[in-house]
Amino acid sequence: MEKLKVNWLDKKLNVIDFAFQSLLRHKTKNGLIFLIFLVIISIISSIFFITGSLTKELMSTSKSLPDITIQKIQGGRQVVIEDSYLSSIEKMPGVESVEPRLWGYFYFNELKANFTIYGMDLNTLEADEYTKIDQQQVQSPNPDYDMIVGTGVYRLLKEVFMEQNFIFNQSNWEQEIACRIIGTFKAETQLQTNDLMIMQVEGARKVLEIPESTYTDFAVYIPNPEEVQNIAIKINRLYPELRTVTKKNIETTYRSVFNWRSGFVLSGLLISILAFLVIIWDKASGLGNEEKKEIGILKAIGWDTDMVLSVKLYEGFFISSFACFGGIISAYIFVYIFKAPGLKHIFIGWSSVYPDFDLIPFFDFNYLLLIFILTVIPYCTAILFPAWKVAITDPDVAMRNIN
Amino acid sequence: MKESLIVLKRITKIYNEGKLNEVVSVNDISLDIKKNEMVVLKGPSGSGKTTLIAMMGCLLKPTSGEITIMGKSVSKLPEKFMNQFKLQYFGFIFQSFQLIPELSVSDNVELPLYPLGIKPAKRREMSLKLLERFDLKQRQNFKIKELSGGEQQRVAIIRAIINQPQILLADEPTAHLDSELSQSYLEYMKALKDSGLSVIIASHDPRVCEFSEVDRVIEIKDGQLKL
Amino acid sequence: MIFHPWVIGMITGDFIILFLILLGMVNAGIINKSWDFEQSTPLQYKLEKKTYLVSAIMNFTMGIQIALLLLFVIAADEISAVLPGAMCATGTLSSNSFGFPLLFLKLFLAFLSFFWLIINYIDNQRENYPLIREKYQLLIILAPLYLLQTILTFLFVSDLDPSVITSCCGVVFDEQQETIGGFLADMETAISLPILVGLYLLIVVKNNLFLKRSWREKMPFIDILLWLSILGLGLATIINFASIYIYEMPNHRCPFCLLQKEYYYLGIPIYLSLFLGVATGISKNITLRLEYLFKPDDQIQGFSRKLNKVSLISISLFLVFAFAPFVLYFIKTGSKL
Repeated sequence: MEKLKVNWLDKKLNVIDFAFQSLLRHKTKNGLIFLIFLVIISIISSIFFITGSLTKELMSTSKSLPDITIQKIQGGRQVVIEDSYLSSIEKMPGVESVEPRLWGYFYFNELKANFTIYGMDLNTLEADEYTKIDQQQVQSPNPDYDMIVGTGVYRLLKEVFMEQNFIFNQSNWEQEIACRIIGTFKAETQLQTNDLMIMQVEGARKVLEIPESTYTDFAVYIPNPEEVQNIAIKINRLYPELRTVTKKNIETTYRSVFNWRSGFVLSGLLISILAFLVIIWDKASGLGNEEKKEIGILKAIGWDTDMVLSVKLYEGFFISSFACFGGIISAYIFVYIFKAPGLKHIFIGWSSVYPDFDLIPFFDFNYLLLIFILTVIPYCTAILFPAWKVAITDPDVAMRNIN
Repeated sequence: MKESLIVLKRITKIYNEGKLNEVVSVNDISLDIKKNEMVVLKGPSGSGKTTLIAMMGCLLKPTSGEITIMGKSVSKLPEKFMNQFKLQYFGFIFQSFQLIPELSVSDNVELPLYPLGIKPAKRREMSLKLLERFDLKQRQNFKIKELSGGEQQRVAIIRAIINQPQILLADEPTAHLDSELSQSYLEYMKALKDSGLSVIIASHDPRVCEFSEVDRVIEIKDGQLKL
Repeated sequence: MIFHPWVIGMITGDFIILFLILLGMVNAGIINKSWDFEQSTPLQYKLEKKTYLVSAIMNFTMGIQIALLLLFVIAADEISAVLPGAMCATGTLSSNSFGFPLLFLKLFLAFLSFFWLIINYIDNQRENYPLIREKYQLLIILAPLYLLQTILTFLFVSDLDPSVITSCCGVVFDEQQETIGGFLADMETAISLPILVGLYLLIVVKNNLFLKRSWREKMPFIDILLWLSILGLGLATIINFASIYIYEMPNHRCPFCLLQKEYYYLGIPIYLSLFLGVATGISKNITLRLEYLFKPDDQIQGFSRKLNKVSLISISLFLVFAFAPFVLYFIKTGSKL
């Protein structure tokens, strides 16, 4: 009596074949599970896509950030910094240049919007960096008060008919300041320039009420990245009243915020997955009579428990994997084609200034693994025990039904 | 003298042993089925013949006693090895055929071939050959629920013999059949016996018991052999 | 730190594995308590059915453990972006005292689980499950280690502090340092490489498929020692030799960076071939030791032969992958680093 020689690979392929067929046979039941899971997974994937894109955008814009930003702190709050510090910092070895910066925020009551004001010499701007606006109608006031605004700002100002001439005013000012808008910024990284108003330095000084010989902060440029930390420490030691923020600090903070936010939402979603899986476990445990009979028949004609268990596990694997795959694709479409309405704002906040900007497509295989581990593996775990319970059905069940 | 095929030694099957609803289904039965025999286990419903034939076909394990099939003791075998056995040597036809209704005819008959690791093309070839022999080839893609009783009967037979078994067991095969179908069924059994199989049928149908090809009729009553 | 998505992934994975192992352990205990193969009682049948559950659990767990190992390394890499001073996984792992021990524990458990599955497979080939008591006892020993893994993960993750500066691979694997990392990096390749190749040749010759079986089977313990030495030297070689030529920088000796996209995920075939080779090589010896249960059963001998073949092919591939960067670099530049 010879032992039965079975090619295990062929047998495995048969199992997979049958599992697949079996899935298609119970379309409604499986379809529902598939759909629910797909929706959950696409939300998770959307979060990763959005976070990834924002991080990518952050990384590309942070290249232009200064290596160190120096601020003066008094009483725990930021105050203007005197230009007397400039020379000693410039002289430090490793420092390429120090740029004093003048900027701040201006809250415009009528539009309930916060604008960023940045002072610089407008004449240094290249022609292609901004779009000129025709200004024949407006009187020509002080060129010190010319400004260029971001497209989001321009859009808003149009609503209040201030797109040619913007009036700055505060309740404690004696006189209002009128600024002529001579151009708009081309929107490349829209996220960055949208609430921006760039003025000549003197105009900015007046609007932001920053005294002469002082600035908002200094931007320090250091060619060798390894020296940044050391120089920052040196400056701190020399001038304890100054605060240094390195580029890496900023990147890390943003990353942490994105991570924190996405992690938070993710945790919430995981709980919903858990609930979903508990239901699945419960459902899979309660065997329908038909299913029990089918398994009984299979066992009776020679299928062993291992094989039936494999079939059930593959069924689960296929459903969850396809839902995973489908979820990721849906998420991609949702985020990059439909621009992720609603979900996007959890990460970038709501503001009337932000229009629909395009997220840079982001894709990383690492995240595929992560999504897989957070979805397919828990699902297969949840069905393992119920699948086993089904698979151990005794073959004589097939006969018992008729007696 | 014919070779022994299945030897049952003092087989007993008790359900719910020790509990209030304890049932002794089969009580101390010893049997010896020879090769190429056609044997009928005769008895009324509840006599234990279904349980007995299930144990012979390795579908059920006895509570005590020993079953030897072709010289190998199988009563203690774990399921995996028992199944290897089943797949090699047995074919079983159930009382209500027990076909999977949503599957097609060919899918149903090919089921025993899956665990044997037989590739889809070969499976199809084997099933078509038998379907043709039993005049069902044109029905191969029909779902079971679309077939008549006689056609389902033939599908059940094909499924039982597709793995080229040496022993065919049938439980009350004629229970839902009219006399014409019963007769054709018995003709099939004869043909199979002629081709070398051993056939064991559990039935209380007199047409079966009095079939000419039957070598032996073993009477079972209340779980015991009626001598 | 706790809400970082990768951290959530790690914790979720570890919990799932722990849950599965506990389920397996409980059932293993139940089976061991009352298992009596000779009996034909309903209880015995129930226990037989439970064995399928335990097998399925362990197979599944093994797969997850490997996935989690990969996840761990990737997570360490992603988290490094928010840890000051860290530029890759090394930084993350060295940022607290739990990182590297956790990595080694995960690796160790992956190997142990693999061996358990081999034993399980062998046991299942025999009708009376001769090793059932022993193998489930082993499982009950394995379970606390998985618990330890989960605890360590928690400790590791909660100890991650974005405000504490950690070191990067340049520091951890700096040959000037007096640490294990430094030692590995400092290892004189003129000595370690020939030893590695020597061990490899020894193993190949000893286990050559064309030699008489008796030679192959001798000295399973020595064989295991050889494989373990290859594992150790192999890892060292990755750090102080292969990585240099993959990064094309004499001081970049990171064992994790080569798993990243920018180096074409080269690390994956390198590590896979090394681990698979060692795992199957050691398993082969386990199988041979258990052969006494099966004589004269061809199935098991065939199995040990298959394991042997896989181990030799795998470790050969590892050497190819480990030396290829050097060869390519040499061809490209005509010099060595």
